[in-house]
Amino acid sequence: MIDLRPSIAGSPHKDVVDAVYFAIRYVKQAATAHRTGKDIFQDANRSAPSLRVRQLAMALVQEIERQLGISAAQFQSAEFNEAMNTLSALPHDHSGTMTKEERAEAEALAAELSTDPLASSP
Amino acid sequence: MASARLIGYPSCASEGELHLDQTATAATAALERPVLYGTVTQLAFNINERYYRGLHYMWCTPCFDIDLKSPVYTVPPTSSPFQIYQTLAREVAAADLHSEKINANRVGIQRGALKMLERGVIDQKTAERIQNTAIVAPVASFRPLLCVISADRAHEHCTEVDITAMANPLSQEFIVEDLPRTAFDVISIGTPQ
Repeated sequence: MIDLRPSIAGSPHKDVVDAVYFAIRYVKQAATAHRTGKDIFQDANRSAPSLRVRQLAMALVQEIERQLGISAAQFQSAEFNEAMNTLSALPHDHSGTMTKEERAEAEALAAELSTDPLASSP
Repeated sequence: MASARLIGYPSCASEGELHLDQTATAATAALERPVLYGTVTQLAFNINERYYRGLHYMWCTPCFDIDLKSPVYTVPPTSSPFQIYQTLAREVAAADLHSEKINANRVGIQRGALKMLERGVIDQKTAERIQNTAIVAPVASFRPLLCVISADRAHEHCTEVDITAMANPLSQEFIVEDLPRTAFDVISIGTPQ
């Protein structure tokens, strides 16, 4: 089981979420990066990642590769799924546990925001 | 030779013309096409509508789907709006708790909330609520929606993604940011078998 908590210790939550977003993009595209030549850090101007976020994202990827003993470009489905599940859980692990009230509020809001916008179209 | 004609309406151009001019025109030509396509999730769409003044962020492409036989209308499978739509629809139908696309979207929504907090569009409490919602939302909240975007209206909101190396230079992708709802239509294309 991959443990990325030491890699994000001391980092601001905003940077962790940003870095995880780009690390996910890296892992998803690792197998085809040599062909597409995409810069995984490219984003709309307002959302461009800072140098600190880039470094943290790459540190997360390198730590995953180190713990799995294989490069992201060579991940098979088991490694890929483990990496993606670990990364996507990381922001929540970092921000701490929700209170019972916060969870209830979030669940209610999720229900409200899960309505089909096309259902109300004219 | 008019580059817009070659790129925007490839069926009007011979194969020879396309090869002659495709590299030179690739960086600017895509918005000559009338529409862009992007796939978003229902939860992300509704959050944008309610909390971000109806302004939307999405990745999009002038190609709806991959077409391996076409020298022009092609897009990598991972960037194809249709393929992304199909994958999300399948993952929602299967109620897959470890879905790669859904979990990536959860992170994207959390990141979006923090960006909007930074820009002063929402306050701290709302950003926390949105992040918590992205974490606990059930799989069904991530049903896909297909966005059909007017290229004219999207122009000022677009950033072109650099695609270099060996990719088809006509395989273009864009990131649109702060796109008003009036600039695109949203449709559902059914659940895959």
